[in-house]
Order: sequence, then C-alpha cells, then structure tokens
Amino acid sequence: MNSELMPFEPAELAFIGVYLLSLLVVGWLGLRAKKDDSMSDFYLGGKGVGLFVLVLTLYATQYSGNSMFGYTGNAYRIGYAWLMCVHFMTAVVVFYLLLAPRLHFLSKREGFITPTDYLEHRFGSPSMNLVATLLMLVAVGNYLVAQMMAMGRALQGLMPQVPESAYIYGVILLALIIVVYETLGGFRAVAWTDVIQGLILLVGLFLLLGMACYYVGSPAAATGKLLASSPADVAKVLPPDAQRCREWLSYVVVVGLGAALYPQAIQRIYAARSAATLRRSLAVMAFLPMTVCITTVLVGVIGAAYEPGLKAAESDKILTVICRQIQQQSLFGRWLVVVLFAAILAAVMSTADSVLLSISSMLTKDLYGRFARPNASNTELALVGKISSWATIGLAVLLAVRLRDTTLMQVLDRKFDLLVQLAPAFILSLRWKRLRVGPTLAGLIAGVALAVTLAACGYGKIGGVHAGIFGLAANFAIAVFGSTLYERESPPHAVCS
Amino acid sequence: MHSPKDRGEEKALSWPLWITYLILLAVGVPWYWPEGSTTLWFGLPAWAVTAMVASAAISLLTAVALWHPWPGESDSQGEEEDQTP
Repeated sequence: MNSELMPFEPAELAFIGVYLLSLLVVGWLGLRAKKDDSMSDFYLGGKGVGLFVLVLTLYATQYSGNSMFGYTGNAYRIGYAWLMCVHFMTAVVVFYLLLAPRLHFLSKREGFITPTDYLEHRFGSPSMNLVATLLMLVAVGNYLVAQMMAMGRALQGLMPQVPESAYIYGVILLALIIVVYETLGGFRAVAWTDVIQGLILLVGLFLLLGMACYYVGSPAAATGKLLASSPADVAKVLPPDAQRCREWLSYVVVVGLGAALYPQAIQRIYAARSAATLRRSLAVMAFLPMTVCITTVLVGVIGAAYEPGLKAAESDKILTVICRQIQQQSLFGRWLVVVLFAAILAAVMSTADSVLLSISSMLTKDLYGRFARPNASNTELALVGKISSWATIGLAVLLAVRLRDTTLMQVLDRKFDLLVQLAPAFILSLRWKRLRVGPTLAGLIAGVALAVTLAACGYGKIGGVHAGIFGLAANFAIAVFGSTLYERESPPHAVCS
Repeated sequence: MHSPKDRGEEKALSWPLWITYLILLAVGVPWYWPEGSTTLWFGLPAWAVTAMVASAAISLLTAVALWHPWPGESDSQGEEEDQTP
C-alpha cells in the first residue's frame, strides 16, 4: 500500500501558501496592537485575552501533530482501547480546577509572567526556581524539536520525489514563518494565529471523519470487519485486559496532570482577561477532547479494518494512507485533503509557536533576568527575548535536521513523566500552606531521578503504570512528610493566597 | 464564613464533585466488562460506547463545576469584546 500523498497541484500548493502568508499578516497585526514594550505585553498579550481567542489558543496548543498522527496510529495498533485518550485529555481540564482559580487570581495580583514567577512568590527559593525552570525547559524543548520533525515529515510526504530536500527546506521555511510572526507580535500573534489554526483543525477533523466514513467505511462496518478477521484484529474490538486498564488509569493521571502543567498552558491561565473568561473557556475546553480524540480513534479503527498490514512505527502513517485514498476518489476529495493537510500543519505549528514563546520567556525572565542580569531593563529583556527565540528555533531546526532519520524520539514519551513531578510544587502548594520549600524541592529531584532511572533501565511502564507515577508517589511522600516534620521546627515561609 | 465569591472555588473542589468524577472514571474504564464481550451498540463495542458516554458526562460535570464564579471574580468581568483582528 502507498503511504505517501499524491503530489499537490500548483493551485493546491497556492492554497497552502496563502494560509502560511496569512500567519505573517496576523503577526504584523499583533505588532500594530502592541501597547508597550513590557514583558507582560509581549509574552502574555497584556493579560487581555478574551473568551473566543482563549478557547481556540488553548485548543490549538493542546493538540499537536502527535495528536493527529500518533492517536490514529495508536488506534490502528490497539483499536478501541485507545479511547483512553478521550479520558486523559478531558482529565487535563478537570485538573485545571485544582490549579486555575487561585493561580489566575495570584497572577493578576502579583503580575506573574512565567510559571516560575509563581514558585518565586510561593517559596522564594533560587534553587527551586532553577530546578523547576530547567525541568520545564528540558520537557518542552524536546517537544519543540518533535514538532519541527513533524513539520518536516508532513512536507516530505507532499513531495515524495525529493524527500530529503522537502524535509530540510520545509523545516527551515515553517520555522522561519513561526519565528517571524512571533517576533513581530509576541503572544498576540501566537494566540491570533492559534485562532486560525484552531478553526482549521476543527473543520479538518470533521472533514477527516466524514471523508473516511464516506470513502473508506463507517466505524460500524469497520467493527464488523475486524470481528470477522484474525484474532489480533478481533482483540482491537474486545474490552482491554487488566494491564491495559491500569495503563488507561495511569495515562489519566500522568497526562492529565502533566499537560495541565505545561508552561505554555500555565501562561494562558495568566493571560486570560478575567477569571470569568478563563472559567468559561475551560468549560468549553471540557468538551473539545471529544472532537480530536474520538475522531482520531474512529479513523484509526477504520484504517485497521480496511488497510491492515502496517507494522509498528509504520502504522503512524495510517492517516496519510487514508488521505491518499480520499485524494484518489475525485477532485472534491483532492481539495478536502488539501484542507486536511492545512489542518495538520496548523496542529503542528500552533503547538510549536506556543512552546517557542514559552521557552523564550523562561530563558529571558527566569534564567537571564533572575540569575545573569537581575537589574536588566525592559528594553534589554525584550531584546534578549527575541534573540533567545531565534536561537531556540535555530537549535530546534538543527536538531530536527540531524535527527531526521530517527523515529520520533522516545524521550518525547518521557515529557509527561517529568512535568507531572511539578504537581506538588504547583498544585499542592496552592492548597496547603504548610508545604515547605526544602521537602518540595527534595521530592521534585527524587521524583525526577526515579522516573528517569526507571525509564532508562527499560521500565518506562511497570504493569502498565508509567514510571512518572512511581516518581510522583515518592515526590509527594517526601514533600508531605518532610513538610510535616519541618512544621515542628519553624513556621512556613510564604503565604499562598 | 465564606464570601459568595469563594463559593465557586468551593464548588470546584468539593468532595462530592471529586467522588462523582471517580465514579464516572470507574464506569468509563472498561475493567469490569467480561473478557471476550462482543456486544455491539449502534454497531460499536458496548464497552467503547460506555467509555465515550462516561467521558461526555465528565465533560458536562466539569462545565457545571465551572458555572460558579471564582474568588476575586467581579460580575462585570469577562464581558468585553475579544481582541481578535
């Protein structure tokens, strides 16, 4: 079976070109809307983001290229059991209930810009600031490289005649577009392009499911076909075994908590115009996992029934296989795939731009501004921010080009194992005044060490449970018991409200 | 005594809410379905339909929990127009 798209015609390429140019125009509009040279204006849009923009920027940022290719691929491999993705993506919004109300209130009162600003306010510890910042940079840094690789692969599929050139020049071109509109308009440009990207993604997903049902087969027909096939295919329809159910619960905790603690997600909590805006945005967000997750699972299952035979990592190409089938049907099908391709680019670029802006803010404010030049002026920090964006994207492009022949880095799977270790420092500290910095930092380091060691020794999951969960249990125990013991020695350092 | 503004966060963090979440999650994760069950609803596996319905219920519950104002939230906030170009 052919897993490459048919080459796009000039008119179809022009459509993609117009879409990419529109992002630059939005960047320029973001520049015109700039109110001042403050970091709050550049990195958080002056904290004036309204409901419509906030919903779509949260949506477009939360779902990446991995959601499109990875989720369809997983559903292709394990069948309906991948519906666990609906639960863990809904869990992200549920865990915001523990985090968002107080963090938003404090961010308005204290003028937070980066996630570490909250830790500084709560613990006042340079060591905690440094460890947490480095952890977040590592976790989202490789995520950025993964998005760059996904961009290259998307363009590679478009020009199968010259795959290497398409990958390299594709990564460079798209990275350049992202960094230009981000440098021009900062958060406003990122959030406003997320609006375009989120809408294209939403439309693209509905088209994808509709086209797959019409041209390939309905989910009901696919289920019947799988039940009549080999035992391996029948297993994709049967209830999952005990180990898979444990994995399901583990995903709910590790991804639910980890994605709620993405630095770019925390910054959107800060950027909301008001608590009411944030609250309503999250209420809408609670329903959006059903659009991406259910759609991609059903498409993966349809692929498993009608396009069997893709093995292991190859199965991540099932989305492209289905798109090629649709392309071959009619002129209408060809154009639908063009829109879908734009949706895939939108998913990847909207995540990459938000991650890039978040990394730039942490490098500038948390490392340069806090440790290297504490007395730096706003103008100097703004310049450093822009230089760090270009340096970060340059490094990400270089790594994406160098790693182009590898499968999507396994370390990507580890990012949630790392991010989830921040839960006591961010969530428990908001709710428990007696939590102390020493035990929290010790727990964080121990949790990261345990999760990384287990994963490095080949125990990424034990009995279906992620290494990060074991790390979090140790982390939580050290933070709570340590704080309880410290309590007898002296009163807590800071207030949490 | 809590002010009316604190009630929203109380609602979001109340034990009944989190117990309901746990019950819905326990219903959604298909641990209790008999091994080899091939029951179909609307052409899809019954356990998969149950998982999707439980997820929809969790979304609805979350939206309801977010209905109440949070601490420090004024009634006039959040009604301004978006800054979308």
